[in-house]
Amino acid sequence: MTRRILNLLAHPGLALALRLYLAGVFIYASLHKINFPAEFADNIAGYLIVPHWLLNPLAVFMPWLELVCGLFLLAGVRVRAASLIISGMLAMFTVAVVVALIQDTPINCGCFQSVGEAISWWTVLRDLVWLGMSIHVYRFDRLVHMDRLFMVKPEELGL
Amino acid sequence: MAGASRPEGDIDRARYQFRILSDTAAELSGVRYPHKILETFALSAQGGVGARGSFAAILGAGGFELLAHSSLSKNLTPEYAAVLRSHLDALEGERNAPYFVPSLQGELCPGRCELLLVCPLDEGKDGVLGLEANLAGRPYDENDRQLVAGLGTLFQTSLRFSLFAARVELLNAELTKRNDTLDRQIFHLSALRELSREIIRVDMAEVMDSLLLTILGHFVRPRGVLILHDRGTGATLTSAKGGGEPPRLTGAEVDRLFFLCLAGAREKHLEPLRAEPVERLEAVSELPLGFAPDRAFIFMLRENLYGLLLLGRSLDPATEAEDELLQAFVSQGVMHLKNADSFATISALNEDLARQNEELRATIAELTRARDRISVLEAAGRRIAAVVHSKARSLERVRAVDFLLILLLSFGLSLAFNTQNPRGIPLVEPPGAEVESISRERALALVADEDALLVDARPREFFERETAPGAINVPAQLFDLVYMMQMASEDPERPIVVFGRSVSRRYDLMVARRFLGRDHERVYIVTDVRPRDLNGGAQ
Repeated sequence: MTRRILNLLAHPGLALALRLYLAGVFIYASLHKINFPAEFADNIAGYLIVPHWLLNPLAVFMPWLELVCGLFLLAGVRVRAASLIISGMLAMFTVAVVVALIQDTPINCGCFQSVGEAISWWTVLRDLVWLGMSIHVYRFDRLVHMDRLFMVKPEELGL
Repeated sequence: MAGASRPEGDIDRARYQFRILSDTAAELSGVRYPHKILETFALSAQGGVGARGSFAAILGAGGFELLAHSSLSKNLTPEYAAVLRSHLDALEGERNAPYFVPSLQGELCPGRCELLLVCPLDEGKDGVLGLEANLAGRPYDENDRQLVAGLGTLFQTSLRFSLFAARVELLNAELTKRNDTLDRQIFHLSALRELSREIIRVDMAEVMDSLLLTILGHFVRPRGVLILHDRGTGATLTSAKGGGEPPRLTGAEVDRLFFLCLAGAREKHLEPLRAEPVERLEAVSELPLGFAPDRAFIFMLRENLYGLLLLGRSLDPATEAEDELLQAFVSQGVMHLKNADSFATISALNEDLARQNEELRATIAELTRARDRISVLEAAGRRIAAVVHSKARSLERVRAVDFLLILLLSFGLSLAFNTQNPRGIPLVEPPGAEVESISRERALALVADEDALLVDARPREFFERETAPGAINVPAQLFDLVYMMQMASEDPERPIVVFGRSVSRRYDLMVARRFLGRDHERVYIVTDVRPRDLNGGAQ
């Protein structure tokens, strides 16, 4: 039973589903922030972590990084690298939110929209779940990869 | 008187006997042949003793071998010889000197011999002298016996020498005959050696020409033809010597020629390398050979390869020895023809082998090239497989270049979009107007002495959580709205002290510059002070 559960958890199909879900989440999350970088910069500034000289470049760059990683996950191109980057961002977000919660900093999450979503421990839990998903994708995903689609498999060479 | 006459008679008799012995010895000295000796001896003894008849013979193991007689009253018979032989063989003792045999005299002797003298000779032979009775009718006395015995000694000696001489002549004759045979054999051998030297060649045509010329020259035959016919391929090789044009025979004529010669041979089944003489050549003369063959030999070199030698009539009369030599010549020639044929076969095999070797070498070279090509292709295949494997592994492996690709792509797109985005923000804050920074004490002094306005520039959430007493909140994002609603009538001469900055935002500087932009002249910022350490008093 346990083995079956483990096999099910390690199934590439599950990894594919999680990959597509994460891709959708990150693509959606990036779109608003790309259009309104100033608002995103204010959100980041609320965390009191990023130095002021890095705030604007990060506000411009990070949404695009989310979008590119989401598209890579969706297309199945460099999935492991994209999932690792997403894992890194999620870990960073989680740490930032935890720090903000501990310091009782009165800020919004800024994850999807600029306003209306205050940070909470649910935010931390959600980020941790997404972090687990990205690790699962990194570990078990091997289906529907665009970069392997047009490549000759070694066994097809017969050598 | 009588006593005196007697000695004189004895002397005369002795003289007489000596004279007879002397004459006989003189006569026998030039005689070589035994029968002459026998005749001389018989006559001398007969005359010496005055016998009526006599005989002298050589008695061998089977009877009289040689016999001479004179005035015998009865011929000697073989039976007598046999009796005499057996009688002499029965005698014991050594028999070297002549001796009389009284037991066979008289009636036993066919001629009634009164004296029978036996002279032992060599090799079991005996000389026998028989004398019939005296003509005067007196018996033979001792003197007669001595005379006959003396003659017997001469007879024995002469016969021995004569028999030796005859034997030597016989041996000489036999030796001469053997020498002749040896000379002929030497001649044959030298002729064969000469033939071998002449035809020791490797080319079949040359061997045929040399063989034919040698045979024609050696056996004085003006014309000759040598034909080799391969029944397998139908090829014919002809050599003709002597006379005019060589015979031009068609294939059918050659077949018929071989058929006729085989039919004329004594042995119809030909063995390889054995030359069979053709005995009947009458039918062969009908074919257009250009001459009438006198001798012919047919032979087989190997399976399907037959040979035929036709020789014209010899200018010298042929002898049996020449026929044997001719047979030997032909046999020798057949061997050389076989050698030439074997050499041709070996040469052909060698050429074929060389050609096959060349083909094999070419094949090996081709295979080597193919193997090299295959090796190169295999190496290329292995290289491709390694590249594909490496590529496949690289797809599964996280590489730095993947991160670099994603980061660069994101960075490029973000820069490009931010440049074109109307709501884009500057990556680096542009320099603005200089705002004087003051200390906490001066800020408190300004508030106390000159009623300075204390402004908290942080966002409302931070202002509501903690701020300085008497401070008003003018967030940078809402500056225009707040200013219009609350500070439009504010005196530009009133000092304004702005505070509130974090590690991520310098809100105070942003708001102070806005105030300066609204023509307020005395705008200050106070940094590194907690909000609770300031006091704006009654605003």
